[in-house]
Amino acid sequence: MKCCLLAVIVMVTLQAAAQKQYLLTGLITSEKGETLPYASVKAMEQGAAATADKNGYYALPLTQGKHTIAVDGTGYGLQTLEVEIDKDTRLNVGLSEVPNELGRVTVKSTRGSHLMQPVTGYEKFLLKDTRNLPAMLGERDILKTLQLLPGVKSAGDGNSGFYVRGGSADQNLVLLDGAPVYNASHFMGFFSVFNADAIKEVSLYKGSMPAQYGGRLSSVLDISTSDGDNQSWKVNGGIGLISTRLSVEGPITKDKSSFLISGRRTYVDMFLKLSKDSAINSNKMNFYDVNAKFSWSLGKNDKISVAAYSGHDLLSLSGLFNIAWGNRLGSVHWNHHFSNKLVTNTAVSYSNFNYTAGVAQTNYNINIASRIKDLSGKTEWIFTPDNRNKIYIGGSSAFRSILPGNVQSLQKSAINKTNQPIRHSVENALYVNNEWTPGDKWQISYGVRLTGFSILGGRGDFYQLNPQGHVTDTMRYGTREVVKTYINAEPRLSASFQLNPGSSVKASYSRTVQNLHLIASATASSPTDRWVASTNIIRPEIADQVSAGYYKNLGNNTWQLTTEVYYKTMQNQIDYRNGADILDNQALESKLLYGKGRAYGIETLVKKKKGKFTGWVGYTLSKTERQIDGINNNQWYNARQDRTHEVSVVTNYELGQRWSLSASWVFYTGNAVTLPAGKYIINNRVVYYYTERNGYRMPAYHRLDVSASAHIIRKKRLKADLTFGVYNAYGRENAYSLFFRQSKTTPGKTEAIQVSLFKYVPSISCDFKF
Amino acid sequence: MIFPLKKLWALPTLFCAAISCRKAIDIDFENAAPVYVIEGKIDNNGYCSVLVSLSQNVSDATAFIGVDSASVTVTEEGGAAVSLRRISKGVYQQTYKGVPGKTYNLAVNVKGNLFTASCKMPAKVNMDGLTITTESISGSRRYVANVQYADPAGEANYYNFVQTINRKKAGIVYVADDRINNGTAVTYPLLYEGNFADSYSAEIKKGDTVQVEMQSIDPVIYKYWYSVKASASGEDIMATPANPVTNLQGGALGYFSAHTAQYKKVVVK
Repeated sequence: MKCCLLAVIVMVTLQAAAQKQYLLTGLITSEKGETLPYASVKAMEQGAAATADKNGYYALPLTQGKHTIAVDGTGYGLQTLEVEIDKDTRLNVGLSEVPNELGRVTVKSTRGSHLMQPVTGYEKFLLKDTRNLPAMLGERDILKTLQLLPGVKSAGDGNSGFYVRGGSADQNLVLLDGAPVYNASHFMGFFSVFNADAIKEVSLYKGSMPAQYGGRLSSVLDISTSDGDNQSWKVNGGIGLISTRLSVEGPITKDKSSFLISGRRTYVDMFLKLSKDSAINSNKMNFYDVNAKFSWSLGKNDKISVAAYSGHDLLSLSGLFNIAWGNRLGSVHWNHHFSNKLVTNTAVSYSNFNYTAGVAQTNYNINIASRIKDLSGKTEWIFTPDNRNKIYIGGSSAFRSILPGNVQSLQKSAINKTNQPIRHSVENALYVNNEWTPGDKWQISYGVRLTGFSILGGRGDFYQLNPQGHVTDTMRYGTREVVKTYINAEPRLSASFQLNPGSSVKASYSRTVQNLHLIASATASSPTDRWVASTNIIRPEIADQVSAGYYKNLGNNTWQLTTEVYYKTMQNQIDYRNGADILDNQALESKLLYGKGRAYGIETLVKKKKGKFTGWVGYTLSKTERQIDGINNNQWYNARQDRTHEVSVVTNYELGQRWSLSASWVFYTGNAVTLPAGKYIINNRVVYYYTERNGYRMPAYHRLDVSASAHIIRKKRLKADLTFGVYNAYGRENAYSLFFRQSKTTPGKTEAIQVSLFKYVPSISCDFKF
Repeated sequence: MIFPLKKLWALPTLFCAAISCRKAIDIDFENAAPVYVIEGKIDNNGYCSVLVSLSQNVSDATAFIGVDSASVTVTEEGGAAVSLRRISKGVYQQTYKGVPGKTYNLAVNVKGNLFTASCKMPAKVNMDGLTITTESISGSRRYVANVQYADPAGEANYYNFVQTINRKKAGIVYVADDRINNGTAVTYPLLYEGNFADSYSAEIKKGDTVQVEMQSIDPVIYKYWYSVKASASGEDIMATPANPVTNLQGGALGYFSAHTAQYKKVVVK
């Protein structure tokens, strides 16, 4: 079999080193010219190996002479090339997108990134790997794919919100090309803002995140959009039941620069129009997303890219109210190679999330606007002094402003405008992390992140509270005056040890700190959810997690087994006091309670990565609890997302050349819920009596999704796939929520009513490419 | 708090209502030991009433489990205690006129348990009118009662509205504050928020007699009604359930409210 590497290989000779050992460095990209992060590179004869960084840059130490280099970019299979080295050499490698079986070279990939990568609880995949998985209404959604992994729980039926290892939904740092996304959901949470066409790959850190990341307790979800093809123009698109997508990519200057523009628009309200019920058909529900990215290679050592995203949701119930929200993100990245030992990445990013909610009635006409805005800069220096150390040093600074909710009204309404003051804060971070390879079997990543967070004064009031939560003192600070600064050191440590060529063990400890809190009281993502920064009273949330795992590759990397255990404690967790009126203008701090949390569990994942039949089985056994004085008589209670058992089975089967069949099944213990233990009458109505928080369980959740996809056109210039799917194929009525009502048929009887959302949701979609 | 902002809560609910299916399920409820429930009211018209009852199991047929043998007194600050008479099982009353601006103390002694509460009767805000308008709500036209009043500037005011349709109390809680309309002439619509469980909803029809009682209430009572509505009504699928925030001391459920009361009636034409 012929060598699979394409001719996109550029060899550049660099300054010769004195020793017999030389460095082979370069970029690993797809044949389209897109960088492939974290690909593994290995010299077959010598056994030396390296992993590329996030920007696809690798450095492999080699002795003088001929080598066979094997490159494994996840999703691209293993590809090899011959290289002869007698000086430090720069070699950029473009991997063919067509999966190739490895030919004459037999590789025992003992140092695959899965085994030796020291970070625990790390998942990465390319979007194209998830292409065939069933998707609700045919909308591929990366956040829902993540929910099929152990340790990641869905926020609810059909919801793109997620919980990682017992953390709440706001404890996930979601980055799109480095810019934070404050609300990653469309349409009450049923879709995510990530348009699958625009996304290249996704990394999720649910265990020990390296010191490069911080700001949230539970996880980091780092999403990168595609750079665009720098060779030729391509158009991708899709027509589905609820949306249409179109992407265009191509070179600006061939080999040097590229662009990608991708858009998606939904038309859910078209379906509402089909209803004869005027209560339904007069409503509006739609959203759009636009992603754009431009990348330039300036010479051999510089790469600049500009990425932007804009999305907007509109939801209006005629005559009642309308809600609109959206994210706008932008970022500029500059990647520079000083030498094969020093690389820098510098980025500036901007994020703006805003929502407005309005009501229009005869006598009331009112709008509330709220916003969170964020401008940040980051620089990272990656220094590879030798083949045993790779040091990351960086710093970042973010300036953030939060507008909590301005009320405005039009004529006719007797409404006073209230201008809630904007709160400003600054968050700085410095970090250093070293990936150290002390021996052939060991890899250790250790570092520390130092964060300084300051809340600034201005027009807003700050308070002193007594233990009952009543305001005892109100304070004013000048603009730009620092009200309170929190400095925290976050040590991170993880290590892997290779037991034998096919298996390894890892362990890690990490501390994470979060200074931005989403105060949410509804059980689903709601427009009234509110981001607040730490203040003199709201303290930073802190989590400590230890985790350990066992990893095994079987059958020449066909099978992958991962088992991890973790224990996590959380401090300064926030919840509302009972009966808090979240929208009044009282001091927010007086409406909150603070406590602690703990989460522990075991996660197992068995993956089959190769062959016609691929997929995985995941199982999680876990516990998540909170203890907050003032709730549940100050005793520990189950967090809402505490689910004892969680199982996911994901399969994909290639049936001949044309068809691909896929199915996924999930099962989990019902959410912890609070149910009444009694009832009584007040003001001629039933009021319920509660004795404990989250003491009951919803019925268990399970669901099967299936899909079949066929290549209907496979021409050289035009390719088209048709996908059929059914979400919740056996029509399980899963409990989304429970409520209680007085029976109409049996007077005096209180009925428990289960609300279910999605039952047999069929879909058909067509994707094309030319 | 003004009504439209609160409506935001109903939004996910309404959306879910549009696409969901519902079915009654059996739940094996825990049965907590019964606790005392006290609903105490004193207004400026001479109506002073205290209901003393016990909570019951969720699966029992809903009933008012009145408690006799309670000794109930209401005391004006600096005044003498006034005893309430038992009228029927669990119902204690007295003709006793409260005065705005005064604080009242309730004491209920039942089988060795003492429950107390204190509440200040706020100044009266005049109820200027009651009108019926039709509003388009999710595409359908509905009658809505609107209360007119001039909110006094310079102080925080809280209101409770009790709507009765053809002499039947609807059971829906309508409370308002003056957060965003302080000092203005307010027209407050008693708009049903569209919960899933419409156990207590009542649609107004042509020819109906709609009566609204407007109460000026103490902030602690506003908090009570707000929390009943938000977290103890059993009907809001989004809220975290909890017992309402009470002003009663001693471990009883319920509230003690000293409020001004005014009534207006209108026939829907």
